[in-house]
Amino acid sequence: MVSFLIGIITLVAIYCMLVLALNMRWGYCGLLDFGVAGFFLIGAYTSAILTSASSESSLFGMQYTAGYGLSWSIGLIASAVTSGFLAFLIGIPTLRLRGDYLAIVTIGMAEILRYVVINEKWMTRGVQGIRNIARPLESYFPAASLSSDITLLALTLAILIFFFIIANRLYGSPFGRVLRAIREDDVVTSFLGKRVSNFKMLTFVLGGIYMGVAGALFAMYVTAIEPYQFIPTYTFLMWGCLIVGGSGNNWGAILGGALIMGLFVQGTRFLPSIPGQPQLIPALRYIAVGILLIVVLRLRPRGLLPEKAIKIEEGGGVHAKR
Amino acid sequence: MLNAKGIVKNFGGLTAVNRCSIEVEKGSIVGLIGPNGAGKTTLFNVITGMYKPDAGRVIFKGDDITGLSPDQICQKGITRTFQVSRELKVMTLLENILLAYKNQKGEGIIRGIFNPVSVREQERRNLGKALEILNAMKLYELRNASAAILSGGQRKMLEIGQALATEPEMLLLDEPTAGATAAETAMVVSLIKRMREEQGLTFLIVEHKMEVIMGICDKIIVMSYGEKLMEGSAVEVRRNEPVREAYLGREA
Repeated sequence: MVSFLIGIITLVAIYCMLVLALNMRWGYCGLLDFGVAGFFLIGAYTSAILTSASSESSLFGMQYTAGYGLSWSIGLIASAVTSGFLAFLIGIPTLRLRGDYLAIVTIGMAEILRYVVINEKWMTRGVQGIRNIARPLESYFPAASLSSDITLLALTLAILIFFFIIANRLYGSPFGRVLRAIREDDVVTSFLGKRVSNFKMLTFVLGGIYMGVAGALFAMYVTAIEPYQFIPTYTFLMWGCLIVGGSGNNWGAILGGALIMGLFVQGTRFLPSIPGQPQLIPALRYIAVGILLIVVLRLRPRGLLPEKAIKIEEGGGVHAKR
Repeated sequence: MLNAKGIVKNFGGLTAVNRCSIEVEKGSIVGLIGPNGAGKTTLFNVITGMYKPDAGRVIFKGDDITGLSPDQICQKGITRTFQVSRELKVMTLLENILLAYKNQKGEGIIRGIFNPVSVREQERRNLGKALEILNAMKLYELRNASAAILSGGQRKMLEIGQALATEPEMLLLDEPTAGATAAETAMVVSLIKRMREEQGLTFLIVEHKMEVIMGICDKIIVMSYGEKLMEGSAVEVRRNEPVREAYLGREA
């Protein structure tokens, strides 16, 4: 039971990183990103391939050559680099265009990446997935033990808090002010002398880094990844979290992530299954999320914790309290 | 100071601006008038980098700025306002103004995160200047209110304040008194005069209220159907027969 709970908190914290990153992209800067699952995927597979044991095994006549057996910390950093670089590449042609084009490109990118992973079996083992992914400090904390779960939880929470602090500091900074101005009206912002595409690119890449790291932690958490874990449903669940929690507010992002991914998606795993209807509870889960979304949008259209305007007191710091 | 030579801008088959040349001397207030659709706003958009002209050059302080992007042109010292004011509604008035200052150290992502003393110092200086601007705009009391609550005239004031915060050498105002009350209009007029006298700012103003244009402009340029009809002082413009025709139509 305890390890189950620890597992859920770890997983929810990982999803909260994704919501935080989406908040930076959409909530701060108004970038319509529908490719969350793709950045998550590239982070997870980068880390999994780099850290899993090297192998030349074959299954059904297919040679697998991937696996480099590198340290978990290298996997974590590399996943930030690949996902951030992916964001950079996608950003070059799309960030100059109107928001809807970014949405089309990102959702397409995420699905293309998933199919690449399904088909490039030499590297990713296709739908078989990569198994036995190493967890951090495995020599001290053996796999599948409570101590290993706790270590991963501690690492995940530490990174989440670190990401949260950075996101929050950026929000109130002059940098964040430009992002919010771009979200409101990027034409006006450019006429005020701001190089809008630069700000968009930085935000997009930073969001990519967050999502990539979340993917690496996810791979370490589940220890076995497969393409099905990165379907677009997860992108839209993250959007649901952000809208319910409160777009533009980092606390809202965390609240939305905890509520939807924790209570509604993971929490319902505790419910007793209904005899003869094993698929009923999983199906009801998404209906419940949908109803929650409708209720919140009706009653609190700006989310449970809406964004507040920053009030600046004279003499006080400009990094104002929120 | 600003010299636009032979500007042409086509939209499909429509020629919005046709071989239009204007000159604005340093420290002067120049009015740009003409019937609706004469191409005034398009000319603004060409000068400030929103559109690239199909022909012609824009020279500012001796530099060719034709085809530069809006942010580059703002960095050169030209700031504009919009016909329909486009304040940033979710942000407070103070944030609207603070946003506009140039060369902000805290706009770098790393310094934004660490918020070192240099950033805080600059923010404090800008805050002082921003409050002065809001005071001059009679918006000081509303400094921490969201910009969405402002009236039409107040929005125009905020937008002019925002433009001033970019510390420009030249301001292009697109109908700065549209939607403003008589009192607010008078305030805008006196503000423009004061800015010219105190800071030596140069103005190019599109305006439909003739009392505003006639009252403050050193020179008036009249446009019609994308072409410059004439330019001259208020008296000359008022006497000019083609100008009357363009506005009122030919006598039967």
